[in-house]
Amino acid sequence: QIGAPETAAGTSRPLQLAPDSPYRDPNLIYLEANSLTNDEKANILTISGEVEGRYQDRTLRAETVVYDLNTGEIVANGNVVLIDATGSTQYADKLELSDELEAGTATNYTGRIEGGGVVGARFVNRNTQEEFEFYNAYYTACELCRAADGDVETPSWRLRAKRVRQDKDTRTIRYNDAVLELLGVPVLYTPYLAHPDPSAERASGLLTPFIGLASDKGFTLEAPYYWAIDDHTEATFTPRIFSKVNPLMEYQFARLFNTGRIDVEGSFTYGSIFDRDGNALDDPNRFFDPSTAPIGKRLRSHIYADGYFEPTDFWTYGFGVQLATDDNYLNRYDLNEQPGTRGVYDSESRRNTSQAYLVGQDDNTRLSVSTVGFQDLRTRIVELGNDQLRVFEDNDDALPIIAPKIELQKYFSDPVLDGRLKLFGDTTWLTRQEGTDYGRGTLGLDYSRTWIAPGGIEVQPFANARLDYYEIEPEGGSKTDFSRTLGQVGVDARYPFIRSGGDVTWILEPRVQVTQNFGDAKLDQFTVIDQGGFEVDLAQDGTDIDLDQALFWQSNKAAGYDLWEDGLRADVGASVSANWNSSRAHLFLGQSYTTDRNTEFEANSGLLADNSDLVGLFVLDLGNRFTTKTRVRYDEDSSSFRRIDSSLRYRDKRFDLSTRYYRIDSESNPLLAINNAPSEEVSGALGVKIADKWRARYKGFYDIDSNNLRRQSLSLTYQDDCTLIELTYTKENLSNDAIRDSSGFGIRIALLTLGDSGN
Amino acid sequence: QFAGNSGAPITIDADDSRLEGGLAIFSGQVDARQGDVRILTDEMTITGRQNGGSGINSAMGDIEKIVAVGNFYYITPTQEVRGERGVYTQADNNFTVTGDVILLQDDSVVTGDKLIYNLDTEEARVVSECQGRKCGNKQRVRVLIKSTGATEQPAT
Amino acid sequence: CGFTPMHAPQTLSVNGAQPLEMINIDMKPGKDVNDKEAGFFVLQRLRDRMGTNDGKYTLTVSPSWRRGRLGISANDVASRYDGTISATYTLTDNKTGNILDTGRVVAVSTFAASSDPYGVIASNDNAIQSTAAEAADRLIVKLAGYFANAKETPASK
Repeated sequence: QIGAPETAAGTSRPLQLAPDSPYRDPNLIYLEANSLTNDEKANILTISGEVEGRYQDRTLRAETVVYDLNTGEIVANGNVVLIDATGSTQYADKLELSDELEAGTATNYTGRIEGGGVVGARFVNRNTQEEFEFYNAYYTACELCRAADGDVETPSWRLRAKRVRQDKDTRTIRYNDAVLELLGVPVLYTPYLAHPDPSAERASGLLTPFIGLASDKGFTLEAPYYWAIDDHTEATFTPRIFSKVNPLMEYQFARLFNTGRIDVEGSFTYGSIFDRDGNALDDPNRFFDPSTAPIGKRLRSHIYADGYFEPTDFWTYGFGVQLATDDNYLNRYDLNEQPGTRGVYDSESRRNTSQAYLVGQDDNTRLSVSTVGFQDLRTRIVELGNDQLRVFEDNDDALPIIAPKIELQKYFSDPVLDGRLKLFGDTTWLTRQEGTDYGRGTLGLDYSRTWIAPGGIEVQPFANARLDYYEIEPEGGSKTDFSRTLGQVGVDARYPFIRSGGDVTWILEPRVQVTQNFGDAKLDQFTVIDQGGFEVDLAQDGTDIDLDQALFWQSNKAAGYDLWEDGLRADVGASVSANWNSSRAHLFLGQSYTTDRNTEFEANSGLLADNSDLVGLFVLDLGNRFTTKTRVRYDEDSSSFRRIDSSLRYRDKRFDLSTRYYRIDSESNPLLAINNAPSEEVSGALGVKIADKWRARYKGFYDIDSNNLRRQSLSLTYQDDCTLIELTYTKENLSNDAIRDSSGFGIRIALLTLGDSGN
Repeated sequence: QFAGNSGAPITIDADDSRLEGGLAIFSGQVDARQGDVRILTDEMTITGRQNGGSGINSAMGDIEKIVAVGNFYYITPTQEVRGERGVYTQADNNFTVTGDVILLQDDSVVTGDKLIYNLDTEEARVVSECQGRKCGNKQRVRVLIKSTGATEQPAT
Repeated sequence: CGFTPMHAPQTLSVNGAQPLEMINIDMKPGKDVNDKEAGFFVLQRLRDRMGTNDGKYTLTVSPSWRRGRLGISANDVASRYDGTISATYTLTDNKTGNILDTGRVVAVSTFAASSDPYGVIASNDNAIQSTAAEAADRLIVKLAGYFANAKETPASK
């Protein structure tokens, strides 16, 4: 049948051929135009007037097309556009095509490669292996736009070269005499350069190299190599060569399965520990205690592995491995110190967490079976002034291995009273080489029902009971095991009022929760006198309670299983919230009263006295342009704020300011003394949009206690649709830590489709 | 080669023919042949130049104009042209076919609104009324080339 | 002064029906195990207060749990953590299928990082449950606000 129903006019989308499409026939070419002249004597067909041609899945547009039936050559002239199946488009003044509409040669040509690259050239030739050769050409991934005065703006980066060849079988684009121009300035010249053709899905090859300078490692060269092993496995090897220290090899490996994936990241090197200026710490008597000096060259490495699988909607299982040979290894080589995980347990700062877990969850059941182990990386090598070094080790043996930890929550709805019953169970077994071995099994039931009393009061009576079994063995002491049954009966009543109609919706909600606890918590079993006559607290959880508005309404404020409040308790609070268009204000105040608060709670928990601290929360959010959140805890007895925690966020087109201040009442907080954590800190970040595509950003943590600017970073970023250039300066001030207390300068250049280089 | 002044004999078969003052009108499945060219049409009207001859010969003697209307076919060994109407004018030696013109050559096809074939230059020109890519469904000239390998010389 | 009890029959709906008790909750799993756990406890709290029913409306909630470092000490260790649940929600009318309300609620609980890792794990688990309860309560406040306003302006909105 003559001519396809709809013409190729007006589409530059890649064409898909229907299975039975007539265009599958390789000898069939369809052209549409205003007129055709068939010169029989010369055997030449001239088709002219907005010609629209189509051959298999290629579309051709031109002003005139001359088809020489003798040679089979087709020459398109005038505003020629050739769109091939992958959607990459080529524009030219004159395009010689073979009769299968394959591009032959072209003059002042620009081609848009599928995947975002644009190649322009004064002259293009297509050799017999169907590979393009471009002469004095340029390649860029930036959008080419015409400036107001009509000529094309130079893109923010482009690669100019005498000759550019597209190699179809290795799927790379090769350059001879290439010059990289960044913002119009020639930045890099190289006689030869190659990068994967953007339309190639995943081709093995060299990624963009990185050159850097660090105070401790000196001149740095990184040359990553990407290896696409097969369709669902890939690896990247990045050798790093330093001028002051031995080279290091970093590797990343990822494998996809149909129910999940495994990611492995690691590195290894051979050498000794060096300080922030790069000199190796191999001289033992430079150390305060030479026996603890970590001297000597040896193999040093780290590995992070993370597996995550979701075979069904219900089950999820996986594992995480995080190990390093020596504590400051990661920081010394600027490796990733905060590996994220998809697992149950996030790793803390400078503490490796290895875990395995199996979690089953649906709408009313959650079962989690897991085991987790830790490796501390918190050793500090401190300069003592007279060029002496002192090593402060953290004791790995005190870290527990938690095996197993099984949690179960199962909810049933009770048809009789229309309430809900919850069965909960938790068993946790900690073993430590040095320190308390602790084992606990808990099984309990919790029943509650919510109903609306007349007048609109929401009343939720609840009752729960649980059985705990403990086996605790303090270091050097004898194992004690005991069990206890604890119970709770209470009611949680709230009386919400609402006022709407105007453009502000007010909600006022007074709320009270009265709870009576039963059972002997046997808390004395948790304190033991060790040989040295010191009191040792064996409780493992609920050790650092910090009452805030979230914990306030928990019926068991012990934030864990070991601690237990006795007697009768009433929590009284009220919250007022107002919502208008996209803004919101919220105020909460609450206090907890009890008959005889036992002394298990520490002073800083806010729950020590019969009347707890006054807990307050204030939030103001003006159309997420200005947001402030303040949480306070006020102690009436000492009439002082035990805790202030306030954050502020301001955003508009040019500025993005966010600050956070907190202060904890330090003398009553034992935790702070141990690892010199700041009791008062202000941290924040300020982003400023300097010019159209330039942004500066400063971020800092300031420890008010020790008047130290712990960490700060200043970065200058240029970003547009195809380029990202980021210059960052970071400075850490960690009280003369010989290794970590350093500053560093980093550059990161990411060119769309060429790759990202940076450390 | 049709009409023109080659002097080749033209044979015309038709159901009915009549003469009306210098016009020879044939109707009913007219089948006209001259050399290797053949024309089929429902009705053909030939106007000859008055050179004194009368009857069928005078009309045939020096053909000035041929008008063929209805299911018009113009067939040569290598090509076939179809349309509604075909008009030959001796003055410019052009044969113009109009009305859903279809030109077939081997397996290639060209369609358009009007075909002008010049017998001297052997150049066929197909044009469409609607011009420009925005014609949409008002069809322009369409060419479907079925090249049976570039090197083979289609016979002229 | 215009305040009426939220749960009183006429407050949230014209015909006295309780819209809060006609909402079916569709909890999305989130991107990893912790998001899923946070979603679980938000769902249980919503069911405690609104019951389990497949009524007129569907509330689709996608939770995410994030833990931020705070209080950087001399040995570059965070001494406090910010546990944040942020949940985006859409309320759709089951019959017509159009989206009535969308938004986001955020609940934060800050806990101290004890020196023993199990202490941090226990506080982290407790923070997930307490912020989940708070996030659920905030969701209910947002829904009540929507229904109260929807009642004011005629249903043609």
